[in-house]
Amino acid sequence: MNKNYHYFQVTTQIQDAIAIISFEWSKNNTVDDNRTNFKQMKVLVEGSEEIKGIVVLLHDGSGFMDSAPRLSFNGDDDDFDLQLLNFFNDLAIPSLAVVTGRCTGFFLKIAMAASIRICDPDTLFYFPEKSSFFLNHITIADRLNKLLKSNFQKENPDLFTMNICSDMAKESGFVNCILPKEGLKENSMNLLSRMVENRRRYVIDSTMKTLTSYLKYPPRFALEEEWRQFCLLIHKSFINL
Amino acid sequence: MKHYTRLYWEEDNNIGHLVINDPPANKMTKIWFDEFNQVFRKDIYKSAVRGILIYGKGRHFSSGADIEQLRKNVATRILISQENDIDAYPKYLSDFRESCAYLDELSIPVIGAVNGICFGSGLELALSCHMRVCGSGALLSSPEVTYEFPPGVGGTQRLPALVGYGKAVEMIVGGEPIGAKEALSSGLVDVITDKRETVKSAETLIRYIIDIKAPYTKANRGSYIKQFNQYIHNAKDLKSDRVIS
Repeated sequence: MNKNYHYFQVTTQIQDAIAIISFEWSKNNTVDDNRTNFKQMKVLVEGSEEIKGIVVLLHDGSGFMDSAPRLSFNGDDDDFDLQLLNFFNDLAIPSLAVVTGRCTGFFLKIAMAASIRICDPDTLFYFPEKSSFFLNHITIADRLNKLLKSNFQKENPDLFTMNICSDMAKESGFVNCILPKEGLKENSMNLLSRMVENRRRYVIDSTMKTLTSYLKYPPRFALEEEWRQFCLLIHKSFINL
Repeated sequence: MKHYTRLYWEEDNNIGHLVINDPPANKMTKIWFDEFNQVFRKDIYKSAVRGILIYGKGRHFSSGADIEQLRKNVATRILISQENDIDAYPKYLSDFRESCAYLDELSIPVIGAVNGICFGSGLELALSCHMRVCGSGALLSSPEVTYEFPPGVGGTQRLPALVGYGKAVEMIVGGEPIGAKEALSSGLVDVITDKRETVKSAETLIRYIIDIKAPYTKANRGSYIKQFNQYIHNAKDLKSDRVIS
């Protein structure tokens, strides 16, 4: 049976309370390598109470522009890319995607699944058609509606059908900030560390649950979840005192 | 003027002024929440004003809820089932959430004039407004997570809708305050003005919108702000020419 290769490599390491997951363009990885890496990544992140945030390093997805290979080819791997996206989409801790080079294809989707995005000044984002799918039944346009500043989307409805530079990505709210390429990884780690240090894991979980409900649910249900988490945690903090 | 102990409601020439009146911090105590809910039931629901201004008396908008009171009142008023579901919620906060949702959905302009500190529930009240005029030097923050609970009055929904999801995560999980300039560039506030002129500038804005003959829609706030900035730029004889945007 012919076997396609997955054109990226994923590695995971832990530093302080932050997990660093690195995706790199690589022609030498196999399907099995990535499945193993992904399983290890899941076990590390989901099994640890110590990890409070994830930094995702996306090193230049330009390789996707050449042949845009599908991530999976064998029948039993068809949902591998969906598994990865769902993993980031459903995380109970904040994730920070650090994007360099050209961000397109699957790397763009991972960046959109993360909580926060940061890039360097030379990063370019290549958006597909807005009607194309981001994840499950959610289109790229649906997701952008939630990620961008409200006014920006309204006033620039066609902007995200073309290539976007880092300045425009910042102005639209797509990225939180632009950092110099030198020291990008360390500065991103510091930014996320400052957010989550001194926070208890269950507080982070509950807060992220209410925030991700904004992405997933209609406003009425999201507000109910927010109310529920708020009261449960106040009750818990009162008892802890 | 309807005067309560911690806030007041005044109707002046078709504009309703809802003023948080417990300076200097304008802290939201249980008494404040009860009076806020009363103002809605007795005054605002029945009012015929064409716009509402919300601001704090003195130097600050509001430092947010009294945390110790909030903890005790919520913990002693909620009913949690064995399955960790909530069977009963504290009524005074439920009513406050309803009042904020009501403000958000009004078909007349609701403008917050934010000076000084605007933290926690204070920020959530400001987020319920359709637009926000911010004084220079103001600080805005969602610090609830530093007290070990998330925002509970629409902050996790209204903030990302304004500033984008990533910035909202950074503000809510990080809990750090941002200044007026960053609030403007992120879309959290719409206009920055001299802090001595915040309420006056907000009043000028609301009058400008009321005087536009077309029906008001919250979705057009971006165009109202643009038109208003142009109007201020052109009206050199106006005293409030220190509006910066």
